[in-house]
Amino acid sequence: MPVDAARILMPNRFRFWVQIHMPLMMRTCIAASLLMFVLALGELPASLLTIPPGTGTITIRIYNYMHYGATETVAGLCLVIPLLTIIYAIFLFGVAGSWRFFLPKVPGKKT
Amino acid sequence: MISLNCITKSLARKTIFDDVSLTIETGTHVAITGPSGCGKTTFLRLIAGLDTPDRGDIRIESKLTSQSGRTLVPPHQRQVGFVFQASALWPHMNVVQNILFGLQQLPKSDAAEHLNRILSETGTTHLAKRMPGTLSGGEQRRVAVARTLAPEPRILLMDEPLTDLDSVAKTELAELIKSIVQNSKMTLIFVTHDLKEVSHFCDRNYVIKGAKVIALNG
Repeated sequence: MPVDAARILMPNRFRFWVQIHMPLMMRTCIAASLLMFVLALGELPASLLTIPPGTGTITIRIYNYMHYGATETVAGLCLVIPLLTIIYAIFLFGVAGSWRFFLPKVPGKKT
Repeated sequence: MISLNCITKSLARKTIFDDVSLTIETGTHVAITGPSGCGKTTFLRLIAGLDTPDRGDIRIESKLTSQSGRTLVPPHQRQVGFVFQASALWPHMNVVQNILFGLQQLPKSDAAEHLNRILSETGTTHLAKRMPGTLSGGEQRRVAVARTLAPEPRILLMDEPLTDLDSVAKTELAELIKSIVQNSKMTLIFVTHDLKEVSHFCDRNYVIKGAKVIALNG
């Protein structure tokens, strides 16, 4: 229903999209993006099949180090995964917060 | 003038309107009543352009707006205002931003003037910086009315705006709507199932029964 209200008052399609649609979808998009990030970060079989020669993901490195028994390095790299997830989550919340820039400006108020 | 010609509309295999024809003169205040699920909201949505009729056509001021499953004039170009049953305020915007959304085509000075006038007319000036989630039900409806009226629509569609309000909020909002409607030349289509509200706001009453729209008086 909020989207219907916007369809009636819509000033133009761009504003309809950035001021109504995206902010209403933002929470879902952030949750989905974070979930996919975590799943992709820990993905091994697909990474092994698709990465080009000479490069490696963090999961492949962990897998290789486990093979050579480098326990401390594996533990360190495993700690990096939640750290990266936290950094990505902060980035996403920053993007969500900065979306206020697109909302209607109150006349006479400096933003 | 709003003219519905031979409108047929079905939703989920249920016929809501079957060959309905109706003309609403400009400036009249019309009530639409009927039991729950009879199609009152659908009737408003068809006029607003949020739904299209399966068959038949809708004209607003002689201009063909919808015809047999096609929307010819999109909702934002029909000069209609729609007060939804559940207020439908945008939760990420404060009250002022909610009202300003429909005023963004105006120059900034005009938008500010419009905004201040509508805030004062609807008694929402003190709520200006509040977020919708922090408002009571009555305040939310008041803001929804303000947002709808801000672009000065020629047709005002109200979908049970007084439902689920306590008696004080209901009386205040009813008086506000009445004063706005009486002081303007807007066409009002007011959906309700409270007959007291019909006599309070409207000079014609239609009831939706058996997929038909029947005039009760006037």
